[in-house]
Amino acid sequence: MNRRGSRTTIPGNFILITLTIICIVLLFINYATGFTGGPLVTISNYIFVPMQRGIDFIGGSIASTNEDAKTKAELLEENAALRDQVDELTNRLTNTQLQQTELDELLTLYDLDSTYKEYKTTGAHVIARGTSNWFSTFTIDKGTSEGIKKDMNVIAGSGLVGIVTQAGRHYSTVRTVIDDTNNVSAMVLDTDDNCIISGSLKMMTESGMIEISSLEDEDDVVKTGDAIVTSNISDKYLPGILVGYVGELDNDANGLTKSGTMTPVVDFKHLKDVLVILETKEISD
Amino acid sequence: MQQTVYKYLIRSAIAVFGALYIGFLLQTSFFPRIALAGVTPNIILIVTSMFGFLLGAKYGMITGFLGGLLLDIFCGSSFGMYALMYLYVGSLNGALAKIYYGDDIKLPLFLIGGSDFLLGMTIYLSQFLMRNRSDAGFYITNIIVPEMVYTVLVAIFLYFPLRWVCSWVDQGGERTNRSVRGVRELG
Repeated sequence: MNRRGSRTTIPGNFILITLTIICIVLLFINYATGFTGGPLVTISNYIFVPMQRGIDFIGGSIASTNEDAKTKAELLEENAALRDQVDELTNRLTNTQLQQTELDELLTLYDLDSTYKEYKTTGAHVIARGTSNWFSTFTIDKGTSEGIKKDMNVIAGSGLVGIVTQAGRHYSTVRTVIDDTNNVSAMVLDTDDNCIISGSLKMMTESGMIEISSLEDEDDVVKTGDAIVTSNISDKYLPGILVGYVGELDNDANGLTKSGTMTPVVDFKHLKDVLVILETKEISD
Repeated sequence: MQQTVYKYLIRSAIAVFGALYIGFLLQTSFFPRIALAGVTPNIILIVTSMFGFLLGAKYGMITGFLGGLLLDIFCGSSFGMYALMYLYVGSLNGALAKIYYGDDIKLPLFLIGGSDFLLGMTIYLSQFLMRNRSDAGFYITNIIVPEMVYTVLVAIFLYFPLRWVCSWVDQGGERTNRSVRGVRELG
């Protein structure tokens, strides 16, 4: 008992109060300055990310071994189908290229070519999922040393995945568009009507959808299946990135705007690789 | 005398950091691959809770604080929020340690389940209800309870390794072969 006495001289309540104060101070600093760890981020970068990468690699190889177990007949069938698709897509590509050339010429005439330029991206693996079941975030294996910065947009395939909320040296944390706290300023592609897209844990769990609100559709033309893209008035999201398709819409009580549901294009449950757009939206202060 | 104290401190540090390290990797990289009903178990909570009632409130607090901080670093918003919550989870489990006798697995599992439910409710109240997400029943049946069940399930498997870690930290102390009442006298 003596041996123990000598090492437990600090009373428990003192520890509790001190740590509570530290937490509250951290929260306050976070609120006031946006501080999210500083040197701790650097340390965790070196001790956690290599292991996460390893686990991800092992998990990935196990998953792909499962995929290898397809029969030859299945593969041949798939191959034939894919060949057809290649032909079709090549055709379509040629057409698109022709149209693109035409479009470029027209855009040059209108001096608009910088509005929807192609974004430069870098690929990254998802190495860890969010830390709780409440929020939809994940960690990718690239960070500031690969040119990633806070507020860069993340896409997968052709759809918007989310935004970088924190960048360490070799990893970054991404908050997805389906996260309950996330809002995106968007617009309907065909009509340019502005709206707000908000993630919703409840709707995502129930039906795999997210919320649309404040849609200004005065002419009542937006319908189910219309594409929704990020808006050019958004302060963090680059314009013209596909977010998803309109589900159902209802008139709001104010009679001016509509709200409803939309289906995101990205499959958030099976996200393995993403692309980070290497530019942030410049906003004039 | 001094040397034993250092040895003890080093063992404690290895145990706390090691358990959190492995726990965090399991929670973020391993379990999401085998999510059940869309939820993943809360391993950091299991570690905090177990250290709290097997080694005492101080361990619970420190483990909870560090574990929470780790989650804060990787979740990228409200830095300090999880640290605060897990700190109190550890402290609460430590305070309940005095009713824990020896080898019974039921009470630890009950405490882990209870802690997880409490934590879920706290997150709901502080981060969801505040933003006008008022359907408490939905969040309880779809997020909080499934997470609790899965966490308790995983805790059954983690109980024995973690208990071994705790007795390794405490080797030579009164708590080997004990009724664990001794814990209270430490603190």
